[in-house]
Amino acid sequence: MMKNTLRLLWRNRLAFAGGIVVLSLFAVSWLAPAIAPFDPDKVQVRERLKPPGTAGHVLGTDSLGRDVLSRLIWGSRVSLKVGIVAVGIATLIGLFLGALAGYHGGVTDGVIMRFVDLMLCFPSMFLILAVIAVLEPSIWNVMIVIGLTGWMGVARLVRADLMSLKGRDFALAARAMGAGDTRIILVHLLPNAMGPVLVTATLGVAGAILTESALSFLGLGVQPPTPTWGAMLTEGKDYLQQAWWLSLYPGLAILVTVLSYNLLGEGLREALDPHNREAVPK
Amino acid sequence: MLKFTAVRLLMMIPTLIGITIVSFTVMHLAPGDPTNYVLDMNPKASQTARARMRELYGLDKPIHVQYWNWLKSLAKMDLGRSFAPDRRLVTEKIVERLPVTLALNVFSMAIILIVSLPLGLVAAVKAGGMFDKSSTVFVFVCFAAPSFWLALLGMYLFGVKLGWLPISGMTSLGFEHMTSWQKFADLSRHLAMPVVISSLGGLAGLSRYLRSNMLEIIRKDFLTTARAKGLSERVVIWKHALRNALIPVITILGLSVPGLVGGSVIMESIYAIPGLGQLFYVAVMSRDYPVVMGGLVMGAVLTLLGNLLADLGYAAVDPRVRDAAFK
Repeated sequence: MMKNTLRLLWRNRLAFAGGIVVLSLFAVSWLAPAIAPFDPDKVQVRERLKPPGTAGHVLGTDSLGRDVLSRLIWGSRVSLKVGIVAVGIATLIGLFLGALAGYHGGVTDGVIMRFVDLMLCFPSMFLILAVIAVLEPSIWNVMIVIGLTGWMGVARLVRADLMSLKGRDFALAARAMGAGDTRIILVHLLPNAMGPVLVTATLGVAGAILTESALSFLGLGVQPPTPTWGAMLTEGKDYLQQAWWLSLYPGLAILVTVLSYNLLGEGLREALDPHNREAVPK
Repeated sequence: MLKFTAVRLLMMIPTLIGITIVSFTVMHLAPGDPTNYVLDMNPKASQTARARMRELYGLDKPIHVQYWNWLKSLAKMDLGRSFAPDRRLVTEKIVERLPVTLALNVFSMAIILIVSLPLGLVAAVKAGGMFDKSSTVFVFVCFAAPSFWLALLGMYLFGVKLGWLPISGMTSLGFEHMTSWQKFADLSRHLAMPVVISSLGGLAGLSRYLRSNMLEIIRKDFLTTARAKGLSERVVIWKHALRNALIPVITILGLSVPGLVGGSVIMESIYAIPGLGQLFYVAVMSRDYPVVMGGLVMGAVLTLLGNLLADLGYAAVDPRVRDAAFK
């Protein structure tokens, strides 16, 4: 199955390209200290607002003379970290509550799913901003808040899968052999429900990166001087007339990253869909 | 239909109570309490002043009593007074901002609908062709581009470079003295960019959904029947298939309400449009708790109303839904 999935992913060129970009971004943020041409925080007042291409600054400099390319490279660390940790939190909560609801059914299911419906009523931007207003804006709070407001999709998926899986022969066999609820859920049921969860998580990373950049843009996300793509755009806004490059490149970085995660996620969805699996030549 | 509406309205009550509980809990996550913020501004505030303030806001009472009192005043549409220097009633502030945000979102939704419908349907009918591929890439790019970035680029291109559109606010100077035709033109020029840009992100959801839904319907038996009895391909697709593909659009539009309302925070603060989103953003920045709490409840209620309208619309066009609700 794994091989088939990979082959289908290869056949979907867009998804494959997305995967390559995602992997490269991991490499870039890992290697940031080595490949960034300048220190991202080094202020050089005499070099301020230089257009792209001057004095080794490939993408120009900002209002404090910091190198835009280096800040973009270091900024990829924040996006990646927030995307993965936030989605990790959301997925764990979703798996836990979804499994409880789907496996036990009845009142447990009713209560959990009403809570899911309730959480879906809040425009997530409002909820996130309200929590940030109460707590302090920081990278950790941003990750936690995005995670706490993004688990509902996973919970619904896992619940639906577990409801159908728990009645299947292999689950009944496990129970007949004396396995407890926890063991049945963790060892027998959840592994069979992971495909769609993986798809949702991949798409979730894209959403989390967008949300983080919006929060940082609004000044309520990761705080300066940490370079983040969203915060770089806030600065670009103030220099819209003099320095277009400050507004162009960070947004492009967000666009490419989010697009790649989305293409990869959609490709995975298609590849994991059993309707498409037979179509692959052996 | 009347019975369906009544049942659907009753079902909203527990959700409304839930919304108030979540909003109240969120606002009381704070390690300190709101008086800290108000009094920290003023170093001369004494311990007694602080106690008086806590009493004034009822913060000295146990948490469930506080919730109950808040709920009671909420039922009377009283959300307290803003912490901002103007000390105005929160409800008043929200109500005067609401029409702007509603108008923005209704226009955005109209654009999403007008663009997504042909995009999704034509892509499905010509699946795999050039149009299908390019429209897919287009909607994915729109979905991935951060709206605030597009807003900046738009301001640079149409505002600074070309000078076609104003880059902030909702009205020009001297708006009060314009004729109503000029007022309309002025408003349209100010709102054109925010409305178009906030609609771009929503294109992907609806058009992709329509495409896959239409693809599924095209394979259905009743279409084969329609073809078998000799109807032309055009009638089969654009009449029989289309009608069935359009029904779920109502639900998708309803589901897009929270995203649009949430997105208005970003759009309104960039373009300095005096709507609910901007009010909420300013309140968050200045820790104006009563307004934040009111905005949170309001945002959720708007979503709830969006879902209600979608459900009623769906039931109106599809009798199966109406009947299923009572099973």
